[in-house]
Amino acid sequence: MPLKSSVPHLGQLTPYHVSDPSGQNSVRTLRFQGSQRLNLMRPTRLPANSRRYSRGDPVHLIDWRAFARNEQLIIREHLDEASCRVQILIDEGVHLSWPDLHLTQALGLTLCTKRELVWRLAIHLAYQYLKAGDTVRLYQRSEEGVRQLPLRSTTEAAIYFEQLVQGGFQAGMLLPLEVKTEQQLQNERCDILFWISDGLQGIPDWLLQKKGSMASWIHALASLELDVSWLRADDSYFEESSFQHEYLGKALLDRQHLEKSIQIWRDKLEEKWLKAHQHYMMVHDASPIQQYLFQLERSRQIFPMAPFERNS
Amino acid sequence: MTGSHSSMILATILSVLVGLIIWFIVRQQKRRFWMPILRVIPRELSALPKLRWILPPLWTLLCFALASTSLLIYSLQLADSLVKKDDIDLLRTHIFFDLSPSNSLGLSISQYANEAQNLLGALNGKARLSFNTSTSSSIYSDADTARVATIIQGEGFHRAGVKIGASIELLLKQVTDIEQLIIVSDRDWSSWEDFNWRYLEKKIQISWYPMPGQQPAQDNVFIDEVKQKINSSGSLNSIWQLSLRRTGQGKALQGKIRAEFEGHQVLAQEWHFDQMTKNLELELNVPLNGASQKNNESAHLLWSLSPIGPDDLLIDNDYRSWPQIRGRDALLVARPRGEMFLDDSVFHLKSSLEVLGYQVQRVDQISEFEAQSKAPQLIVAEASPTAQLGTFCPIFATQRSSQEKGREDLSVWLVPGQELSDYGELCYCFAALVQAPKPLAARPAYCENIEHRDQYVGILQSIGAMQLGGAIDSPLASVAMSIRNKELGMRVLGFTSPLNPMRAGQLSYGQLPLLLRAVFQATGVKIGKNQEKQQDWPRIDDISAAYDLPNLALSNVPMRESLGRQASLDQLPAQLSLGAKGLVRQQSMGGSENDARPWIYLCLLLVVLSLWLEIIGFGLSRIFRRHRWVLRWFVIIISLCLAPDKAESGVKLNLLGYGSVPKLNSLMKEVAGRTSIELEEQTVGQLNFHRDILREPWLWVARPEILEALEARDFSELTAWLQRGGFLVVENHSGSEKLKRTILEAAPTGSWKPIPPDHELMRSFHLLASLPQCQNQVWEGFHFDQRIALVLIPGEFLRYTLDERSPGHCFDKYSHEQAVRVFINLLMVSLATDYKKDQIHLPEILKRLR
Repeated sequence: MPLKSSVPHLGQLTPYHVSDPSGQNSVRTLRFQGSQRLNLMRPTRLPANSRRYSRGDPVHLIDWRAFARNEQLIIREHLDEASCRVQILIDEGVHLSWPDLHLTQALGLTLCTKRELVWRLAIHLAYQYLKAGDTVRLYQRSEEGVRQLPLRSTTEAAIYFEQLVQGGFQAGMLLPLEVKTEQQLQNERCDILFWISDGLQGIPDWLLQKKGSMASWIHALASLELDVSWLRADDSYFEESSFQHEYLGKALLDRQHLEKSIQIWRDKLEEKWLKAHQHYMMVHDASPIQQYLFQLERSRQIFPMAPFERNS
Repeated sequence: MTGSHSSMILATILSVLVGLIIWFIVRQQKRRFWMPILRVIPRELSALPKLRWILPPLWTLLCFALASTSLLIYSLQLADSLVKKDDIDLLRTHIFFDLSPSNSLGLSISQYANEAQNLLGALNGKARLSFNTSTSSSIYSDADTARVATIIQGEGFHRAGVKIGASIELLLKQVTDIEQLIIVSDRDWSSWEDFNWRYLEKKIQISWYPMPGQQPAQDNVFIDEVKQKINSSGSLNSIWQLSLRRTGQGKALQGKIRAEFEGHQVLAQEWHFDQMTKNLELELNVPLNGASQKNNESAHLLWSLSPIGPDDLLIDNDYRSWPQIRGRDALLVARPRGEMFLDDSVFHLKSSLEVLGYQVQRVDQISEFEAQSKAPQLIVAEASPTAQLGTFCPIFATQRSSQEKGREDLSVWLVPGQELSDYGELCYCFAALVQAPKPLAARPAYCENIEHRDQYVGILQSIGAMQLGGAIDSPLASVAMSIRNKELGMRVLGFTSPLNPMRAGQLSYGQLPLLLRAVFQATGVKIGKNQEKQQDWPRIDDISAAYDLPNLALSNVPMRESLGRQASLDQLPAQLSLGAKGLVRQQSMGGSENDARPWIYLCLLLVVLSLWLEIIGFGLSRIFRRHRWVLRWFVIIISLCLAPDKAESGVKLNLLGYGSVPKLNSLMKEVAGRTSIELEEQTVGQLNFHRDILREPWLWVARPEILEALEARDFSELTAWLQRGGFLVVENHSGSEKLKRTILEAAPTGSWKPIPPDHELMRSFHLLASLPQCQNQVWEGFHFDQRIALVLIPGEFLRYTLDERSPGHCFDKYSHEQAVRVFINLLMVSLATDYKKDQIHLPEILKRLR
């Protein structure tokens, strides 16, 4: 999708784009920090923390004085926030180098690669969760194995981001990645999991079977993959696998064959993911930043149990 | 079609095809785009075939097609012309008989005619025949073939030459459907030189038939030129200059020359050629009877040579000339002012007129001129400052002309002399000539007191003279004023300035003849070939331009026919010969220098090679798409295979003046063991100086005396080599002041000094404390161009380094090891000069020191 508009798009996303447009800052106290909201079962007098009694609530939390006044069972809880464990997982592969220089030059456009998009998204999420006081673990998963990027503070995330920007987002060469095993990754417990991938290698089974955490797939594609209007009928297009299939542009454009195929593929993947997990979001390098941030916010409300909320 | 040609055509076609294929593949490859998402789309979509047809850009395709087609056609056409069957049967054949004088060598006309009949007989019935001879332009057809001998005998050899090219051109205008042309001629170069038969051969099969029985040219004597000698006074006398020439050499020749005039023999004299003489100039006194000459305008002298012994061409032994040179006459009246051309400016005027073809007679005064039967056609009268009218003015011309009024070609030029102050006499003369035939009693009034050129010009204009030269309406700038006396048919020219060329003047020596020529042209006097032709008896180079000339048989034989220069066989068309098998056409020897085949083969080879290289490279890059290094290595390996030249790193010991060649075994080992340089076993040793000795970078000389004794040329070569970068080592020196001085003279910017202890020679490889001395003689060096170019060594140092048993007494206190070290340092200095001063090593040295 040729980028012409002046709206900031995801290809320009930095970690400093605030993901909470409501301005509701997370609590950071000596005891508690993080984005995870805990409903601590302690009586409190503060009316702001009151709610109606529902069956099963502890009886000792009922404000009997309020019941005496207006005959309604009101429960007063003490609300607080605590840090949660966030895991961000990036699917690495050769195909992330697309769209390559050869293509962008032929089209006369400057577009970011999928790898750049993926890393921008990952560092942004990491930065925002670290800012909220959460623990973030960032993994890169490829055919060669699993690597972890140690992230301890927002400063570190910002430094890594700057390095990536300067080095053209060649993460493997720029960042101090630590080798981990696949098993460690799968066994690690987390509260929230973000899987950032273009889905070309399919969804790993263990991700579909992962229990106990909020898993969200940010399906990052290139804008040229979603909108194939740039295809020319006279050119040929090939994939990178060992079979070297090559297609004529004419055949791909014929009766919107490619567009339809991609749509079907996306629908299938989404359906498969949502069977196991609650949240799926598809982005590309041309989607506006604000829209992306809004979707991220909305995800807290859409699902019965928002990825950012959990009862203790 | 022979094998090599068919293979060549095949290679061409193959190359073109391969080129087309590769082109399309490359075109296809240019527009491939990688799209990873294609991995996930359903497989039922048909994959693209590896090769497919894309319509190429129109113009590029057209250019390519044009180039390949023309290449193809060219190769096919070449093959066609090469394999054209030399069929002399069943062709429309024309035979051209060359009857020029050179053909008469060793053949009488009847023999020639018989051979011609034989040739036609051999061809008769096999082809439609026609023939012609060089004597006339008429063409004889089939019916006349039986009469060929008669026709040729009737025509005989002609005296004019033949240009075959021009004759054939005329012939082809008349007969257009000739398929085979047979030229019966000898190898005379003057006949063949203008004939581009190679061009014509593309349309007509051309063969050359030399008449059998013609002898090779040996020696031919002929008359080159006959001139009547002119006296210093310009009048003709009876002495004739005759130049005889011969073509051969090495044999003495003699004979007689006779001259006939109107049937009477007027001269008979013998001549004699030495063995080496090629030219003979004779001066003969031929008294002619003037009266008979006057009666007969066409009377001429006939010179005939009769050599004793063989002579190639008999036809050119006769030479005709006019009895008197028929030039234009001019009379020049001028007083001499000094010796010849140094002081006498009129001398140049006379020479210029002679250049323009006039026979000039010069007199000092008009009274000296003896009136002849005819007045000269041009009279030039110069008025010197003190001259009276009677001394220069050619009044006689008007009197004479009154008798012959029909003459229209008389010109009178009146020229003012140098430093003329009174133009009165000149004006008077001009007026008298203009007014003639009426006599002028006295000087007219308008001619009084003319002291200035401007006045003179003005008066001439007022008389009615027209200006000649200069700008319009400015008679002062004119060259001359001209008026025509219509009654006498005489033109009078009054020049406005002297006709004296001067180095610094307006009129240069070179311009004078051009100016006169322009004046002649302007006054309507024709100077050119027509006049010159009348002077000489005609010699006709090409008869085809002169078929209609009457009395052609009387012309002189052209000199080039007599010279008999032969064309080489490769300059002639394919030769026909008549043998037992009938007519056989031999393959032409010509055309080797015009044969483009080797170049075409080379181009094709290059095309095919480059195409195959491209195919291989293309294939490799496709197969090893992920491994780009394969292609790089392929290129490197290919280039290594093509030119693995052995690198030379050895140094030869280059010796001058050493009696015996030294054995280098130990020294070689030392040098190779210590340094990366290899001293080669082979030495270049010479006793005397030779240029080749300067090919090595250094030179060892046994004694300084050898150099001192060198010749100046050799020494300058040696010093030039030194200045170019050579390194000279001279042993056994003991002062040698002479050598030092001569070297210093040759290279004044250099200087001699003993080698100091901090010199690069002391540290170029080994660090030396001192250099071995001999009898208190130190080592000296000639420093030039910031390097040491020459080293003087005391004693026989080289022998000392070679570890010989008795190295001499000089270096007794030094060990062999020291000598080797010094030798290696010398070697290093000679090859690398002061390389240790290069700052490039400094960081590394400092690093190691730290």
